[in-house]
Amino acid sequence: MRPSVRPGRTTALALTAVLLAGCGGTPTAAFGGGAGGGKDSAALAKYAAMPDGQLVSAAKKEGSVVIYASNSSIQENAAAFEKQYGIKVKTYRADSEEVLQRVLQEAGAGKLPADLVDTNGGELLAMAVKSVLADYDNKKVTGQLRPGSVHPGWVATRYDAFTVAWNTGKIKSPPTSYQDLTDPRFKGQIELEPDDWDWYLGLHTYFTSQLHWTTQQADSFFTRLAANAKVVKGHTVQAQLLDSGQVGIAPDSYKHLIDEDHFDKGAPVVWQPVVQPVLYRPNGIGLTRTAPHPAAAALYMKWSLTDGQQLFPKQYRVPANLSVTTKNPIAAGTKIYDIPLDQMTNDSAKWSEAWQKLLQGAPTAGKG
Amino acid sequence: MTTTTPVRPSPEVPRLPDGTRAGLLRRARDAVLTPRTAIVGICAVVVGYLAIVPLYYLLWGTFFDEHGFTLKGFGEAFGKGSLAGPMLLNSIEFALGSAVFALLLGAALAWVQVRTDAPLKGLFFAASLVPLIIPAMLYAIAWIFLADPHTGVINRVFGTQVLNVFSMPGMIWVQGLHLSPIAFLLMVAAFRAMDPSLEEAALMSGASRRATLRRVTAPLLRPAIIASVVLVFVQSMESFEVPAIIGLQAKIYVFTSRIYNVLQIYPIDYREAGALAVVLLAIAAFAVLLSSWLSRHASRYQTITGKGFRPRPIALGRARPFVGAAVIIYFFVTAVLPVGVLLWASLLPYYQAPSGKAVSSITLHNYSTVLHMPLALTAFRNSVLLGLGAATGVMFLTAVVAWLIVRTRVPGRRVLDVLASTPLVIPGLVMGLAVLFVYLRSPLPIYGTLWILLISYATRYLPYGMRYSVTAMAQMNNELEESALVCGATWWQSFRRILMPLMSSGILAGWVYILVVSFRELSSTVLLYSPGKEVLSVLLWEQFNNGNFTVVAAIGVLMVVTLMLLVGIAYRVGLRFGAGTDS
Repeated sequence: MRPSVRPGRTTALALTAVLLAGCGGTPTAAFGGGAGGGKDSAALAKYAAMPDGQLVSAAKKEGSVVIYASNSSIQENAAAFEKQYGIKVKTYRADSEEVLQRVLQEAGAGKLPADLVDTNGGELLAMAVKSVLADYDNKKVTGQLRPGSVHPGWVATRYDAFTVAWNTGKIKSPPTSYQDLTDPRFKGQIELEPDDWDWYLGLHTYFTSQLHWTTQQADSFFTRLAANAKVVKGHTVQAQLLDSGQVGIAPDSYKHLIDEDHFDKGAPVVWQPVVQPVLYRPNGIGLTRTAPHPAAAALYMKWSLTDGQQLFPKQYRVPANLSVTTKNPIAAGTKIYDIPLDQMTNDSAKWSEAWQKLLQGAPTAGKG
Repeated sequence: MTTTTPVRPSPEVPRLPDGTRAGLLRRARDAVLTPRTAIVGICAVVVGYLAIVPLYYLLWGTFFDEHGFTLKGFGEAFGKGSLAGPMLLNSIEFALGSAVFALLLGAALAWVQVRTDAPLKGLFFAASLVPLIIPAMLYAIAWIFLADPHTGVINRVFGTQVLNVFSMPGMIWVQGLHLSPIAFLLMVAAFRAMDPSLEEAALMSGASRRATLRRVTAPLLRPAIIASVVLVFVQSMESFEVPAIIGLQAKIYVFTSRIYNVLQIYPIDYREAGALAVVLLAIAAFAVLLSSWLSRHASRYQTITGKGFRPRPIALGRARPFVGAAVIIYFFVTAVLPVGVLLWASLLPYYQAPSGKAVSSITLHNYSTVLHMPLALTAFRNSVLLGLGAATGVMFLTAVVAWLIVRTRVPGRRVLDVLASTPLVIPGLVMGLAVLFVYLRSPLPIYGTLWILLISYATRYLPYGMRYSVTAMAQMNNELEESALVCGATWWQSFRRILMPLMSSGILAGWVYILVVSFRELSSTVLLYSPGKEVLSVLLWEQFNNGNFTVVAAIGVLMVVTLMLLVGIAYRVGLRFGAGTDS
């Protein structure tokens, strides 16, 4: 059979198509029809300072608000906001890395449909650096927050608290300090998460900056910890193995997940008496500079720092608003250490690499 | 082993000599502007386009930075202290082991299914599809609960360590079982399209059973065997779940762990991630070229000829109850155990090993949670639409392109074949970013709709469609097509009414595969979906992320039920269009 389709032409056509689709298209003005409203920081500042009554009616006129979130309870928050104001909340949910990629890609193409981004502090900082986010200025609201919660471009709404947690059926005499974790009696009982390099960064800098250990001392601690541990990927998988007693201790557990499993589901896992310090990593929310619904966005921002904070106690989370107390709170006087955000953003590759290398020295599960 | 006459050129319609200039132009035009050229050309362009978008994005990111061309990424990826060498060896061991295991399992099962009168064949199809439906992440977790050396249910039941999941054999076991449906579906289609009288002839002529297997059966199945090995091998090289969930605990690091790590850190080092992916790309391209080289004497495997045949099942005789027992065991290990663990977890408030106390806490709460999710219905509908759309679209495109690749001598057809296989090794996140990048800037109103997900799925599953279609096409001799053409049928008529029905076994198998895996695609979905356009895998991920493992298990169980129903319907419909049956 004589071929009449020439491959050269086929390839050329396909390439042309890519180029046309990739470069030839002019970015259209708006995405999903949400093009109304003011689109600069001035408008956002105006709404941020607006009295409640006016802000609510302006927000209702816009009718909806779009939030990109890695916050796992965003659906609950959205439902509560909708119920209170009758304003529709549309959410895009993904892991923090994907939220960041999506925002930067869309912002780069001039088609960012999000009004707000609700995710981890590190990712918010990266977006702020790229000038995607607008500052939020309302002292009356931000004055109620834990000191250090207001950042350029975003505001912390809650803190992830890393605690040492254990299965009470499996661990009869729990660790009372981080140093205890390196005790031979816990060999093979500990699980560590391969993506928790920020926890590693936090604890390492705590040792060197607060306890004035040398780097070698801190490194030696982590080497011994890794020798006692097995590597378990993902906090959810970790929690399953901890709940069912397949491992005994998870030193990098989220407080709220442990409390939820303990109090709401009856799993034999606890984090008290607390091993100090508890490491804090902020989660926050930021307004996008190009918010298509600036009034609704400002209203949601304000709500999430005030009324919205009332949702956290039920979720056992640590709210940023000091007037709200969570369920099973971390006792006053407990040593808290904030994971240094600047290092998290600027030295991510270095710390992540070191954490991977460290864990590769950990022994094989099942033999430990 | 040649069963038919070698490939002959198709009959050309005789033309009157016409040496005029206008006549030449007309002839050139006629040759180019036939419906055949148009359909095949369009399909080839679409396939090429789908594959080139992510490939271009990956290669650009790998070899270019703000200063121009660079090879820095390779230095970072393979330089001193990167451990890339040992990791690559681990990867190859893992992938090769999984491919061989999946092939042996899939081939043996397919033979029993198609060629024997084994009992309980209904269980087979269920067993062959269940591992496919369960997301690899959940399948791996289920096997940890089953085969942890100390606390695993299996090891506890036997009172000794039967299987330690935290080892290379354990990883190969889980991955091989999970991917054996790929081999099973391909081999079933191949067995159905194979004329058993050839084996009978060999036996009659005095060949031993072993010689028949080696010299008749195996060569006839070669395209399907090669396709299975290539797919499972390359997918295992690229897969992430089993190495992450089981491998890390076993301290076995593979190549993809490194790619994953690089992609997790902001700002993403595209050069390094790309350099690592390019190596996988080279391996995949080599595998595809090797497979087409091994299948170069295509006519030798063509068993669907003008001569009709009807596969007759072999009577197993006294072996029948044993084979029946083996079927039950296989069904139990691949389907009942993992689904059982999921079902068990879905009925509990939190995961516990089976015990009296656990039984007393059984509840349907997780199912009611799923049914009360505001997005459950939307997600369900979107997943069904996308699954059906991607499966149908890919199988149509690849069937046409398979014709181009297998039936014609068009130079460069292998390039198209390799190109269509590249999405197999492009990390899902990179694929998502590439599609995002292109359609954010495209004037077509695709961004923010379900179409962008359809495009992404069609791209991701193109390689699978290609292997299923090429394998099916390779088994068909062109004399049937030629008879149709001689009788005056157009190319499109012969394609639609002769080739498609004859390929239907293979096409249906590919269609089922793509439908099922579309339901669980997450890595590119999560970057590309928009508010209101959620799919089931997004809900699954969300619950998983929230730590609600038992709710995840409930969604998993519902997915298994839904897909079994859809696939059951598909096979019923397939029967009416000529796909073979064995029951």
